[in-house]
Amino acid sequence: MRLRKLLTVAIAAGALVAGFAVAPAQAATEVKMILWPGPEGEAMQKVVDAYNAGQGKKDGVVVKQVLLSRDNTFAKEAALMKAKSSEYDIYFTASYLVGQHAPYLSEIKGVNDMLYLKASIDGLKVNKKQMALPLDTSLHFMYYRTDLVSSLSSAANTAKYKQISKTVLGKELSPNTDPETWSWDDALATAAFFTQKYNPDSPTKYGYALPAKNLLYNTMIWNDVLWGLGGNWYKNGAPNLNTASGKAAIDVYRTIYTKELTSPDSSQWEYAETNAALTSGNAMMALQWNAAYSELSKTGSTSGKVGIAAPPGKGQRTHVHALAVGLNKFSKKQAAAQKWMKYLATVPAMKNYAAAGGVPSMPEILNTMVSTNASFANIITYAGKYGYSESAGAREFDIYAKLAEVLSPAWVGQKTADEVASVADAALKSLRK
Amino acid sequence: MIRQRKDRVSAFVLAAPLLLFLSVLVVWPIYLGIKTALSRDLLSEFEITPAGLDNFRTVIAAPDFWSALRFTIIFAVVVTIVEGLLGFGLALIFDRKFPGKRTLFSMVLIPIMIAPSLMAVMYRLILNENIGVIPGVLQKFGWEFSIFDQRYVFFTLVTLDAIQYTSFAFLLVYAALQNIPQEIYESAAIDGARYRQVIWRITLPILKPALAIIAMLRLIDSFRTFDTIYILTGGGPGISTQTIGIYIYKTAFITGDFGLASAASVTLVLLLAPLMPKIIKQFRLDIK
Amino acid sequence: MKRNLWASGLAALFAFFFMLPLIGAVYTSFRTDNAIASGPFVWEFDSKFTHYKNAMGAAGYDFASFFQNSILISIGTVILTTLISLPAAYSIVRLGFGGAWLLRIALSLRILPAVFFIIPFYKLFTNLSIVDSVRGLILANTFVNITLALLIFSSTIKDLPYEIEEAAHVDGAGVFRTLTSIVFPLMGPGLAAVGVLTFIFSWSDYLFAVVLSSSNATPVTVGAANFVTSYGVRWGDISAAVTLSVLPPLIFATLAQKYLVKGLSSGAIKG
Repeated sequence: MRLRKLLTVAIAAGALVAGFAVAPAQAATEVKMILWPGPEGEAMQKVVDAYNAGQGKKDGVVVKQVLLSRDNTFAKEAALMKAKSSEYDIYFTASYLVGQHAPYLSEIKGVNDMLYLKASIDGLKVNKKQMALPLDTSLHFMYYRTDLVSSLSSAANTAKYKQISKTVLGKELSPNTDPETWSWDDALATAAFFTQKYNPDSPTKYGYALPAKNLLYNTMIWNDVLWGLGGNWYKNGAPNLNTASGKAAIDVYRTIYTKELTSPDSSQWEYAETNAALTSGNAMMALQWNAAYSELSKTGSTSGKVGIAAPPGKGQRTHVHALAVGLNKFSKKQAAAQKWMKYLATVPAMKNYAAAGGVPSMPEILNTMVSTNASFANIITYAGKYGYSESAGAREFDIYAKLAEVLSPAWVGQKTADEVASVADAALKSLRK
Repeated sequence: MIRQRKDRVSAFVLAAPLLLFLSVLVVWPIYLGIKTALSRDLLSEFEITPAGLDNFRTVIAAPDFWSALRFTIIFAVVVTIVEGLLGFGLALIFDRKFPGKRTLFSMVLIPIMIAPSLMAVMYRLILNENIGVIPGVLQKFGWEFSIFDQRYVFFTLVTLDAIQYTSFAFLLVYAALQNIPQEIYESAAIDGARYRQVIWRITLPILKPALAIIAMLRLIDSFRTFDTIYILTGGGPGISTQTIGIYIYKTAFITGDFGLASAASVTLVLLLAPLMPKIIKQFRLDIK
Repeated sequence: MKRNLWASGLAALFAFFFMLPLIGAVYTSFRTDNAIASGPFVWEFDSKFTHYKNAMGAAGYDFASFFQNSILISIGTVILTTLISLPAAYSIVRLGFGGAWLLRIALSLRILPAVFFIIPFYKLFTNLSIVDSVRGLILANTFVNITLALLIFSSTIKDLPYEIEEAAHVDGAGVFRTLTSIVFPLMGPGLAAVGVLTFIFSWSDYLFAVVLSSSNATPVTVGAANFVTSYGVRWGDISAAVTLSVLPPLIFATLAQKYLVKGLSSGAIKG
């Protein structure tokens, strides 16, 4: 209906243009864009409004944002793409998905790479072509309770720490009160120290909050452990999880779960539950998404007491991905959509986005926003210093899901690292093109 | 039962809307679905190419498919029995006059009014060990119980399904009960037969066909169980709670393999098709 | 009456367990975000009803139209489903149309996972230009509910005493008159069951709505899912949305229940 109306308007406008040498105000073309709800969608609405009221008038473009629920956005887009739909002009995508989406997207030209965090802009290239424009950058922090970590340094606690690490991990360790330099042993020993099972005086019931549900986003977090222990999905193109480093990374999760440093329920935890464990004061630390900072720093037991560190490990690395928007190849309004994308790639547009709560992938903007969200400073440093992602081609999204499925039984102690590592490698082999 | 030619025309006219509906909304989509099942149709690949029976071979050789099928059958049978019994019991309770009946009747139906996907989100909240009300209350009574501990997760999922869908069984049994003449109970009471015997000898036999329908419906519906388990466990740990619905959804929308997902759907129907005539016989709807 | 108090008690116990999720939602919807995040018994209530305001549109989502869409979709589905399946069920059961194969197909449909139909439906609806329209979702939900309706109607009709229809037939009433003036009034329980269930299932449909609506026809289930964000779940807001979303079907079920009771007490079936 709407389309027909628009078409009529467009034809009428076309007739006008054809009829008069100097066209009067052209009818605006509506560009429909998918995003997901939450801070990104809300921030983007502000940018959209600003565009429609300003630059959009000059461009003859009106942008309409449609929010789909987070869990179904990508499923719906998959259906739309396969149906070669032209209903939406701009799709929501991400660096871990752009490989899968690339066949249905048009290349975006004229983007100034220099404005963006390198990891974010590069993650959205497929065969060296820019297939999507970065919005928010996501990475992980090791969140911990600052009040509890600083309590470790007392002599009594040092002795207790040594004894607990001996019982739980089989090695005597001394407290390390600088989480930025933690090894995974330090993290595990600290988690054990703040678990009431081993230390009845611990203020938190559990030392760790482990998102161990069979969910692809949880694999992204586990990847930090893998990299922190020197591992990788592939080595010289061959699967590399059935190795000492791969199995050690599985065992870190397995130890946390089977030694009950985390709640038994955490076998079904994801982002929200991990946050709840921290804010309720029941858990002391967690490797978690940067997005959690605003909630953790303001609510519940972690309010004002949450510290941020890079993921533990010698080869400290954090997963980085960028949420992004790409242009539907089947859109009938390519030119108009390109105009909007061009606007979106400018600093003022992204500044607007940041002011409304987004986390744009432009360091220049993040720097100026540190006063509103202290974690922005860490994003820039960590993304540059530790930022990493497995670029596994078109099936990357699929691999994350498959690894969650294969590894999660070992994370929660149903299987051993040995049992799952070879299966994981077989999956990695079959999914790599 | 066809009495005359005129009736045959009427029969067709009466069924025409259904036939029209089925031909538009079912025949074409099924044709497309089967075509997809016979194609190599991946999201990551733009071209769709004919693949013969490749997808079916892959499905049949996939251990995940069979383990999902096994889990689904066990889950479906267990929830059907649990919900059937509870629903029947509840309908018997409601099959009399008592104070507050009307209000309670509506309250009992509440769970099916909440979309399973939203219900699952509510479960995530109220069953959460750290911020949920239910573990909170249990802890007050000194009962520490990890609801989502992988050892109890099957039990948990069955319970949650029962909370949501017992109402459905209840409503159907209740409606069926209304077709039993009240006099049966009265005359039985005069005979001095005890209530339990009345239920056993009179109500149950009369209700048998209705109960069979309800059981079959719940069985078929629980074969499609998806939202609640997917949101709560993602099918995990591993694939230990993966239903066939989750398998197909993940195959289509995460793996992006639409050909395989369609083939799995078709295989599922083919596997269950031999049961259909039996089910229909159960329904006593074989008219001739 | 008095001696049935035990029945009230038992029914209330069932109702309580069934309502636990809703009770949780109501409780959560009145608490502050800080209280929700801190633990289940942190007594800090939100005097400004922020969550309800958000669920009514303050969060930027147009919940008024989500509710309107849901109501239109559900009522439309009940009407369309009944119009299609009641005559068909009569035709199948009493006039022997199509034998059992029609039911067999209908049953098989219910086994196929919704995923199977999503892309074909999307293509079909695009061709009919009813994507993102209430009409489109009524069609999709009718598709979902038609098996159940056919089965319930078929079994209800089968349970009706055939003699009445026979008598009407002998008196010279045609098929249509028999259906409208004899069968239909006796269908009370069946109609109520189909009506209530179809309304409720259409109301709680999610997967089809996600794919087949985008903004104009978004129902409340999909709208409420907007509170599940990439930054976690807005527990308070979604609880308020769930609480509100239960009200319309609850009212409908309560009203239909009166009809159900009336349909039963007519007594004609009890012969």
